[in-house]
Amino acid sequence: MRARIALSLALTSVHVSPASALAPADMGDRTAAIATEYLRAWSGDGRSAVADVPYVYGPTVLFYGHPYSRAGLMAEKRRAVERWPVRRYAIRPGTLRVTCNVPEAKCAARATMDYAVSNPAMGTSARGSARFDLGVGFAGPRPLILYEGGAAGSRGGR
Amino acid sequence: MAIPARTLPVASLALLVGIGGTLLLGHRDTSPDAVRTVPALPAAASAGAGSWTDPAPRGQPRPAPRLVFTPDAEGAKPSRERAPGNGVEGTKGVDVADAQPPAPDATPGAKAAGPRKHGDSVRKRSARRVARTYPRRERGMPYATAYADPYAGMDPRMVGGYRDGPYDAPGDGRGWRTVSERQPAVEGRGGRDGLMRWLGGPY
Repeated sequence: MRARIALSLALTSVHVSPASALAPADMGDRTAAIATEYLRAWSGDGRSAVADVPYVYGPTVLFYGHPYSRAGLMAEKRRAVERWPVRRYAIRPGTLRVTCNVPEAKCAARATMDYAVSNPAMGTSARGSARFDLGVGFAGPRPLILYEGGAAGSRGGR
Repeated sequence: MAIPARTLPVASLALLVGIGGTLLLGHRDTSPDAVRTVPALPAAASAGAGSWTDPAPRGQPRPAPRLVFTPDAEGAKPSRERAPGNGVEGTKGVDVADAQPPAPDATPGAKAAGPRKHGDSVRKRSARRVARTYPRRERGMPYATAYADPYAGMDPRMVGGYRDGPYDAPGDGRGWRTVSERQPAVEGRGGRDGLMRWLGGPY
């Protein structure tokens, strides 16, 4: 719950002014905070993170190479949560890089993510590291996640 | 002129001796110690002139053919059957290096491609090599890792297809993605990756 609040704060703290009015440095800092809090919010053993989808994502999201509406994204997230009820995601310290396209008011965060997930009911688990990509748009009144992707790194588990 | 009757037996004897000597001198030696000469070349040696000599004694069991090729023409090339190691020796005038059969893994990458199976096409072998280098996504992978596309640019029919769903929900094993749904090239494998394309600009 605390992570969800932190994510909400990271997204809403710029609500008072148009996101596009942010300085480039602020956009970068905000993107880094959103990426960190986003993974923290997704870590847990509940389904509450799915409820954040309408709020933190844009109306259309390029999600692992596919365009998704919010409703479609919620469905996918729900499936993922059902598959892995227990989740731990964390950005590996020192790996987060943020690049911003200031004219278009969007920033890209890329990091190496360590994860450990499990499904006690099925007796499955997995852990490893992966590349984590997150794109945040600042053109609206509040920043929104418009892109999410990644690539597998080392992994193990079962 | 009359021949004296008493000389006839002598003449007959001389005639018989002459005939017998001719027969004896013209007879081939069939003793066991003789070396048999095979006038006709085996088909494998037809490229060069020469003769094949089998030194094995006649009538004796020969465990394995051991032929000695003696070319009488300069530059006669042996066939693969006469290469060293095949139980047949090359001798003077034979370029042994030329007789070596090509190594199966002589070409770069051939070893990585693995043994060629019957009926495989080059594309299949290439697909297998890629699949080994970039192992197939495992079931049980969390969503954030599920879209590393180890088969980018490959025909999925060659490597078993692609799983579907944006998460490739770990453990569910649902279906396969199609070619059109392939991920863009990932970082480090050429081209701009999806994140940088989304970001746009010269970044």
